[in-house]
Amino acid sequence: MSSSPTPELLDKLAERLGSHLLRRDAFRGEATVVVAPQAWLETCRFLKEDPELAFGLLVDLTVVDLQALGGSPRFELVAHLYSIRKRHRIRLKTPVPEDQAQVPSLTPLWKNANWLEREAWDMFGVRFLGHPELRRILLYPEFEGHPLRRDYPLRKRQPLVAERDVEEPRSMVSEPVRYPVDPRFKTFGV
Amino acid sequence: MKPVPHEPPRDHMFLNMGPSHPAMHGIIQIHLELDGETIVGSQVEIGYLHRGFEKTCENRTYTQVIPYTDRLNYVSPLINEVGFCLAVEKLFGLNVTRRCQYIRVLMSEISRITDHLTCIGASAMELGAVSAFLYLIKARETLYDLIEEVSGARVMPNYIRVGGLKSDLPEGFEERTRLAMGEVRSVLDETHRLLTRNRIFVDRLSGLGVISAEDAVSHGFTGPCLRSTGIGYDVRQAEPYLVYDRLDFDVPVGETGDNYDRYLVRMEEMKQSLRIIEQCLAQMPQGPYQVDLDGREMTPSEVIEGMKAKPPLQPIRQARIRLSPDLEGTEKRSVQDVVADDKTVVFPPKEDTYGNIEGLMQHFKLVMYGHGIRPPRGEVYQAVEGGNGELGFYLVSDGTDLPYRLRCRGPCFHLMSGLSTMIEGETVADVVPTFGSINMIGGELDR
Amino acid sequence: MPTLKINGQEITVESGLTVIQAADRLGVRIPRYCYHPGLSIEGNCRICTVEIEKMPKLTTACTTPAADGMVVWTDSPPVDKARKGVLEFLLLSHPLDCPVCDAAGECDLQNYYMAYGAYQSRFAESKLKKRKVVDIGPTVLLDNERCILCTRCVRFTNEVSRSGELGLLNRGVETEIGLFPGKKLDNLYSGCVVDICPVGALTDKDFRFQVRPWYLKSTPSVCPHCSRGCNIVVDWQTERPHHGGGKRVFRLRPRHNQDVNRWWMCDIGRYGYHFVDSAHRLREPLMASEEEPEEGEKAPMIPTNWERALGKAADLLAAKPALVVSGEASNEELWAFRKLVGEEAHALYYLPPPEPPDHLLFTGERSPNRKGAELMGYQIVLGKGAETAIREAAGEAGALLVVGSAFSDSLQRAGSSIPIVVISPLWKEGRARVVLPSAVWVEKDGTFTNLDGRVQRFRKALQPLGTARPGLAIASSLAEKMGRSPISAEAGHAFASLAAEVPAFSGMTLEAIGDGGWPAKL
Repeated sequence: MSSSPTPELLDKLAERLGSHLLRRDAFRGEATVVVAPQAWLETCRFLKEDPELAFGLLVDLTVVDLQALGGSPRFELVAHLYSIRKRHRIRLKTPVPEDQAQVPSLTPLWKNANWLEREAWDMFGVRFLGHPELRRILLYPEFEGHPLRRDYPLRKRQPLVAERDVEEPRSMVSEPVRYPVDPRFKTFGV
Repeated sequence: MKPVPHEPPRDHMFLNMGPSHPAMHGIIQIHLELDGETIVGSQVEIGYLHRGFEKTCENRTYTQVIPYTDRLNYVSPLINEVGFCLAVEKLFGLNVTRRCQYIRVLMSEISRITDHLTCIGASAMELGAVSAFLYLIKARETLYDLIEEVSGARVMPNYIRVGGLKSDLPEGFEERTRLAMGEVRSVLDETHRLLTRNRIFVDRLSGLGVISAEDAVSHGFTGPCLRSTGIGYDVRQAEPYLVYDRLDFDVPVGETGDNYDRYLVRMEEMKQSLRIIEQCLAQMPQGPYQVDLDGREMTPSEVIEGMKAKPPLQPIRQARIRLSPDLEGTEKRSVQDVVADDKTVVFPPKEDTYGNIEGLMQHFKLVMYGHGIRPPRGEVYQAVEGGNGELGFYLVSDGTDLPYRLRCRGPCFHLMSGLSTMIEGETVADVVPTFGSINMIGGELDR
Repeated sequence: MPTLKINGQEITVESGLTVIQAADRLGVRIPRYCYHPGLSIEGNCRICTVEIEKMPKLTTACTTPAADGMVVWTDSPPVDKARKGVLEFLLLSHPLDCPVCDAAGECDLQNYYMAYGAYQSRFAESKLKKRKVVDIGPTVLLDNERCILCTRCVRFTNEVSRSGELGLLNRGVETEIGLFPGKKLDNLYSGCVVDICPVGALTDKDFRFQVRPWYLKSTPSVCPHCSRGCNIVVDWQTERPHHGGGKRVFRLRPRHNQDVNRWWMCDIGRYGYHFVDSAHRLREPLMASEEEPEEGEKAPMIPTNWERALGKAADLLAAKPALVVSGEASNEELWAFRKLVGEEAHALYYLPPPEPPDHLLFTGERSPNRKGAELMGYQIVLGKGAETAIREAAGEAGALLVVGSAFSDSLQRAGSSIPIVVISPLWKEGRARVVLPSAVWVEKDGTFTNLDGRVQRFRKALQPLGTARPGLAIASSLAEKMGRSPISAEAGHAFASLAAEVPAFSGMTLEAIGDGGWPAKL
């Protein structure tokens, strides 16, 4: 059974969040904490770096479109965090309005946030501020719309895409790197 | 992936690996920037197998989702089904019978072995060891035979149900499982002799594809890839679900986080899975046991008290039933030990569906659109240990028969996000074993 | 004015109401088979059993008058047990028909079994055989095995349709619903017995085996077949074209509106939807051939595209047009076409000759929007007078714009001295230079004004067939081509402009009308 952090730890988090804590609830033994969007990055940083909470693992990051539930604001960004050391789990949420769907990126904290946020952008059109390269990940660049939004029709057809010109490859390294040469290739005199 | 673009140095070469490359398992593309044969930059492009799993499932009833989950990690489909069904049951607050829990664990572990066998076999083959591949796949086939015997299908079993199973184990299953386990054991020994000390194999794996423990956690690694770095996180042990807390098994960990460690971790995990299967067979109750909502066994006096309580505790069953001698698997005798006693969730046995109006109406109410099984409003996240790591289902229910939001957390997605880190600084030829040791499964990665 | 407590909630109701009615007001749904708010109370099914404190036994909520100080519990353990027992009895002889029953998915036996029954069957005997597939009239079939003898249909024919064809025959376990000797269930409201049947005993011949109800989607709408404007629900589906031979609308059902049709609708409206998917529906614009026809012959009509057809229509209508509207034009369309031809032009609204009205709903006036046309300043013409009026209008005008399909060839001949532009969903043949296919009422948004001046909204359920367009969209394109002041193609905007100009509609918006309707200021 999944375990939520102890009530004392949740109280500690609530105290730290202060007015940024919007809601706190528990369902089937799972703790959910809803924070204000402006505190998103800082809350995550605190959860990750506090030695008692120690949520080192960003398990998942996704979005729920509340449109069909009549929720306001429309989107909810949901992160699941896990602490390998403390063996507890938490669900962290923040409301994201549709007209300015943007939240700070978690890429400074976790490396997999890069791809997870790209997927959230791809599927829901939620933007992440400070993300190094926010582009589609599962779908192609010409895709119109964001398919996991509730108002995206299930059977919608996408227009055909014209053949793309191949871009000149751009270097992915910022400065010339010399990696140590593999000892197995010494004989080639590199 | 360092984003600053500038004129590439003159001697850098750009190479596309995939999407159609035999070692890319069909469906991913890696842009490589090479300095000679050394990779100095790389970018992984995924999405070639994206089929809108989540969107599809949000438009299907809970029961209809189960076959789709088979297609996530298609070499260990039963674990996906278990994960999804556990998530729905968590929404309901429903617990299944003890026997059903054991069968689920048993089938999960068989699936884990097929997963690891495929992974090791495929990466050995990509390094030239075709005979090892054939041995491993042959062993996998004996396990597929078991799965087929239980569910009717080799690869896409569609066996686990919300609140239970499609049917109980067939008669004679235990003996055949022991035989198959003997075969898998001997193949594993053979593989050890063929590969573990093989000079070529070791040279191409050890010290390559290294990832540090910090990087692995930061990339969200779980499963064998995380454990190869020395972190012993396994969902089965950290948050035991089903009956994993009653079983004795070890979680192997590596030291260096390289390809060879991942190979060794997987080899050892298969042995541990065989241990778990043996314990399941030994411990599995032959009839239904009375358990309370948390799955604890109850004394007869507690059962009587529980029946007085409102709402009644589920599932409380009395009869002890022999197993079915044939594989039809849908009659009363082959389902009643393994399904929860809740008519609003579990399909009736076929005698009832065809035999009396109550069973027929129950069946109809569960299959018709707009009726179906309806979990209460709420949201849950359920993690299970998949072949490649933590497989999670995040479900949001609005109280209707369709999941409002179904999110699948596949371990591969996170592993692939760390691939660049693992291959940069190595040679092009090393991409193949590193990629193989990650065991990327497209169905789960792209969903 | 008794005040009672139901499940802990207090409510005060006027005296004379029963407990089930009080509970309905509170939104507490008590299960029912025989009780129907539009029929007299009989209390024979016993499923609405509730627990009332200080009463010695459980009582039926439908027959017990609400009394002051009553404390009612609708889902206590004894009540659940009693309902289980009732269901077990009702299902004793129920056949295993769900796979072939039209009501599966809408059946209260199924619903209440899951909600209140959920017991393990104990039935080991053989089931009672009764008459199945009994043809009791032109529209309805009866299956006695499925019947639970709630007698809703009997009470309906006695009290609402007042035709009294049905009754209870035989005694004891062999009791069944049947026709009185020499009678057939053949009245204008026969289809309603299918709606009120809580199980699948009465099935509609028109709907039978066409599609499983759980594939259907429902859209609230208004019946276009007479000036009553009964509130209805359109049941349709398009995702499974192999069902029902490819039709899209499968049935119409009445929607409760206490001020208009209550729970009922007549068979004219109920079965009058078939033209929606008819083969005569026009799918693309037609234009008369440019070649001169032989003397006395009509020019052959040639399919064309919208751009050319609209251009031609705009050219023709530039010359002082007159307007004849008929059929199911919405308020918005009436207003838009009036705008298009100009205030000074002749605007006629053609009404087919009236039929005799009946005692309940049917008005005899076969047009949904006569009142709307009156309020919009149209001249109402009908019968013989129509031909004269049209000839007169045609004499003064340079072109005739005909909107709607309830328009015979002889009437068109009356206007044939000038070019005719027709906007209609149906087209067989006639004299026209341009024919533009328009959408029918289930394919567009809008409002009708019924004979009492109640403005009622209907909603779009389907996409127009072929390339057909809603009348409002056609008016909008024509206005653009003819250089008139712009007309919005969107019903909400058009209605807002209409409400601003026509005093009877002032203050209304499409949203505010909602699904209940809004009386116009007459």
